[in-house]
Amino acid sequence: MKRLPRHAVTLVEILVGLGILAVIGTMLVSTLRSGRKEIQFSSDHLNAIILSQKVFEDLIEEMAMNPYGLETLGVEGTSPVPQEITDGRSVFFSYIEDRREPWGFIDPVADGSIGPQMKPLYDDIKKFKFGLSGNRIAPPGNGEDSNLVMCRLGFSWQTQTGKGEFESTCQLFSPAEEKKADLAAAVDEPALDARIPAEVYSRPGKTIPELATEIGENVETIRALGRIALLTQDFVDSEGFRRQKEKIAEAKQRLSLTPATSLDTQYEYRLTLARLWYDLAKRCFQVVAYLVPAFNELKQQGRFTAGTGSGFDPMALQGQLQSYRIIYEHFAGSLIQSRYYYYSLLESDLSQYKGGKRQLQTLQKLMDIYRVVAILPTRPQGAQEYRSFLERMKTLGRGRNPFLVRLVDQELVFVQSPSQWYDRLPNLKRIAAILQDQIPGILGFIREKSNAAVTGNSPASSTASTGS
Amino acid sequence: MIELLVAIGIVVSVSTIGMRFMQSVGKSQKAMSAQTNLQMEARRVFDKAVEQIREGTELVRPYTGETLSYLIFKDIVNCTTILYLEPNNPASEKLNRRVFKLLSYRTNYTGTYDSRNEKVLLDSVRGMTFTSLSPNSVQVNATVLHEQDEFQFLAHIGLMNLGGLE
Amino acid sequence: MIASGPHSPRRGVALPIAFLALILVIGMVTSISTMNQGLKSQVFHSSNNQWSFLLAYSAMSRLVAKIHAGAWAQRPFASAPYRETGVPLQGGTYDLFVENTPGHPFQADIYVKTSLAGTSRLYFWRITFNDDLLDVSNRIIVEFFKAGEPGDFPATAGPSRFSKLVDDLLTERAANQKKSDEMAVTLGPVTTVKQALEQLGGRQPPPFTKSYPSTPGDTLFPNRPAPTFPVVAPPTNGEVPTSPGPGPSTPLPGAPSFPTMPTSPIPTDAAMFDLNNQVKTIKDTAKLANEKYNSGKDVADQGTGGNWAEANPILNEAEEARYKAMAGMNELVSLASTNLLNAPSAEAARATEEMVSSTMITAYQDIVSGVSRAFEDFGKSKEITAGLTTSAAAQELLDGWVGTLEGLTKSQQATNELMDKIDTFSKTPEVAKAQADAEKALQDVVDSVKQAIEDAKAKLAELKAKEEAEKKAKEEAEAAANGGSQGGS
Repeated sequence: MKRLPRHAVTLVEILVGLGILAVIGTMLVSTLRSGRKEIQFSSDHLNAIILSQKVFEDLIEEMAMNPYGLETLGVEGTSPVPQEITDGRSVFFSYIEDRREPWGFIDPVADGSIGPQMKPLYDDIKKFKFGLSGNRIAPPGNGEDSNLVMCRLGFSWQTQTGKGEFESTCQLFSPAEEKKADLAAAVDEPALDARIPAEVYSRPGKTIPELATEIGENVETIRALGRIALLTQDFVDSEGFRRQKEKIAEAKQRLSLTPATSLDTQYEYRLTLARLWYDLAKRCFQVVAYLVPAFNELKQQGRFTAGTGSGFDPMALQGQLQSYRIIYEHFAGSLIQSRYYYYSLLESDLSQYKGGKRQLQTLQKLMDIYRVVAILPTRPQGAQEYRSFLERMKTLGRGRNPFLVRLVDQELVFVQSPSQWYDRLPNLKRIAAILQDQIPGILGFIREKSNAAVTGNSPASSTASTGS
Repeated sequence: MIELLVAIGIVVSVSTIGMRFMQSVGKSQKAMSAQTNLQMEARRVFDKAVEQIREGTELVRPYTGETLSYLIFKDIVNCTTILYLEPNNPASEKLNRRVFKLLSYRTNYTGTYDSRNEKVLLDSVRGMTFTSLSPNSVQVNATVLHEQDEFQFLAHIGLMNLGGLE
Repeated sequence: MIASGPHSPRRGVALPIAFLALILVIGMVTSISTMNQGLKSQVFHSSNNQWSFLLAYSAMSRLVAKIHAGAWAQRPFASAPYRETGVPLQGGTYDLFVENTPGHPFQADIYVKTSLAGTSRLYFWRITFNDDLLDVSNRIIVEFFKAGEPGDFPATAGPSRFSKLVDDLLTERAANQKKSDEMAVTLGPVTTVKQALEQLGGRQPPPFTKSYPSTPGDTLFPNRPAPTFPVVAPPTNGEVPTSPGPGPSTPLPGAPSFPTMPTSPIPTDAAMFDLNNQVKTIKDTAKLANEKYNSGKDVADQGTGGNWAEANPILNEAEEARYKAMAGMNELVSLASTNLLNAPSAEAARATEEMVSSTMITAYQDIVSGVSRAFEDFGKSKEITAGLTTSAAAQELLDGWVGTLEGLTKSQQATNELMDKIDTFSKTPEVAKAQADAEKALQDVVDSVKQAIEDAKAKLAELKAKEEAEKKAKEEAEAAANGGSQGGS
């Protein structure tokens, strides 16, 4: 009988097979391990991306509110100090949620931070650290780079194999220079000067130098006074100026007829009034600012001789100068009116109707108006009014809007020192250079010349008592 | 006989080890796969939330300083939209825990329901809160689920269509 | 099985099993790698998303900084679109296209196309530049933002599919504004999702069908009270404008806690008059009156006894000019009163008042100077009356002077009434004193005429007495002469 072939394995084969399987198993385990590590790394990486998004959004919001937001967040400089994220160790992660009473108020210590109660996030990110630095790209005076800050954010975390890192950068607009404005761009100076001899001095056909010789005054003074006279008159006489007041009256009329419950219409008319008054203030300020050099010319070089014939007429002079003062007071008064109506938009019904965004925008607008009112030389209470307003803003923002609170805190510090305040706010510095440095002298000059025109015109007393 | 016994012993041991090994490999791979899916979902939710909210014009609720489990905002064309959590009962039963779906609904201002304006953004959410620290942005604290795994993230999304008062 | 046998062919199964295991492992490794790759690409996608946005935001910030570096008129896209291509930044590159927003001054449309690790994205901003000298914060306003398709990056200037989309979306946004505001008010008091969905017209979510244990870390929202919208406290009374300005001055509707402005006594219209022209007219006519009085008197002073015949026409012109000046002053006060009611502040009203009072008083001074000069001879009334020889002449002179006093008194009264209109107007102390001095000077003129009249009356009485005495003496002499002739016949 034939023996059937037998399929069998030898021990050696089994051992060899086991050896191969062991090697394969080892490969598999290491693949799995590295896969797990990869997943963990990806998870950490994803966390780093999301957290960096949070930090940058915070930064964007802060800078939109405040050009010096890097300082208020404590990140200005080149050497970022690594911050931890959890347990309230970073200002960026201290206002997370409103978890307990009082509701609607986030206490960064009691309920705002990422704590052990926020699992699994707390466990995932407690090993993270981040460094945020920001620097102005160029110092002031270097064009567009002076108005940009470069922010660098780096997250790092320990892994089983070493250290994970994730970096991102962003440039943000941070205006440190004043807004450029060309006051003379709106004025056709040659055309204005050509009108001076006829309209101001009743000497048509003469040139300004000829006038100067006739009157006995220097050319610059003639031109300066001529510009003051014509520009103030043109402005007050302008259709725009008149029409502006008509529009204000119309809007007030409509507002007075609007029922209190008609919030949409109320808001519309109050905002219209605020804008109309503000626009009037802007226009008046442009005239006031433009004529400052002309007044300086008069003050420094004007001889104001009575002259021969119809030379410098003191009465005409005082009338022309007084118009400037009226326009200045219209600027100041219109600004205060505008402030009143913008503030009226913050009434509780209207605020709630229009929402928090409009409320914040109104506060930001008011802040700018209060700042200018604070430096009006003819309104000494303006600075205190601004401080009170800042305190009200802080009360609103406390526990709710940390960006607003940081801005207000910074502003309250700067306001104590005008020179520092102006350095931080170059636009305000330019406005202050006119309002604080020039206007008091100009108003004093106007008062002096107006009084002189009157006191120098006194009639001689009658010789009635000549004796019997 | 002894050889047979030894051989049987070796085979049984190796088989047991091998089976256990394959089981654990299978489990690991399943867990890794779940983790991966979870992170993908989280990524998707994060990007989606950012995209939708960033183009909004205004927050309606929560008010500044408030935390809610839903978000109401005006989208790019001022249509009021709500992001909210709705119970996901099948998933909850499967996992024996509360699982939600994240939905968005955009009103058409007629007061009537339009299913075309409703979208399911995510199927498995353990929890989500929205906190407002300013009228211009919202913080999202979301915990995404996949099977028994969770991934939690915190995002801050700024609205870009703010306009101005001037 | 371990087998042996010298002649049986042996086939082992270990190696095939090993090969099978190897294939399985390779499959597993491949799937794990694919999973990781997928995850990596997802994470890459997220980081690319985030980085691209930051890149675009940086590009937009750079453009805004460029605009801010010069006046708006000097912006790089003032006359034609501004482009940047392939600019390296933050690990990627961007293309930039900026143009003026059609139909909107001080607005710009900004397109940024980012390229980062092979992925392109488009971002669009429409911004408004705040052209305002009084602006302190330098805020740039984002009117519109949208992410788009890279294909929408403009190749040329002018309208495009995307710009039309932007305009349409903005139109739709504006149309929904009021509805969204009203919806926001109704959503204010809601405390649950159900209430919110009810307001929004959404579907009510179904509840959980079973109760489940809550896991630690679940955020629980107990029944909180309805929230109150955070509001800011109103301004203080001191911050209110000091004048209501043009239009009705009624309290703001529905604002019980908001401080109110002062009310004006009468409703005002918005008329705003240019006072400068009126000031000029008054100045010219008052000055003319003064000059005419002086030149008339100069003519009168020529020749012995006064050349009044030639002087009178000039003095009449002076009077005419004076009337015109006074009419002008009256008009000035009337116009100023309207301006005062429309003034934005008490300080602006005060500035107007001081200008008007200075003008009025200066014109008053000119008039008084002229009148003083014209009436200066009344100071020499004793000399004048001393030369009178007859009572008839004295009577005539007296009658003339009485008439003059009547006219002068009326003029003084009219002038005083005119100046009374600015009694409440603000004046500097110097101007107030000048007014008082001018009033006194005019009163001195009136007093001098009164004194002259007294002198004339005295002279008349003297002359009458003298003439009476002379007449009596003459009569006595005649009587004496008549009595002597009757005794001699």
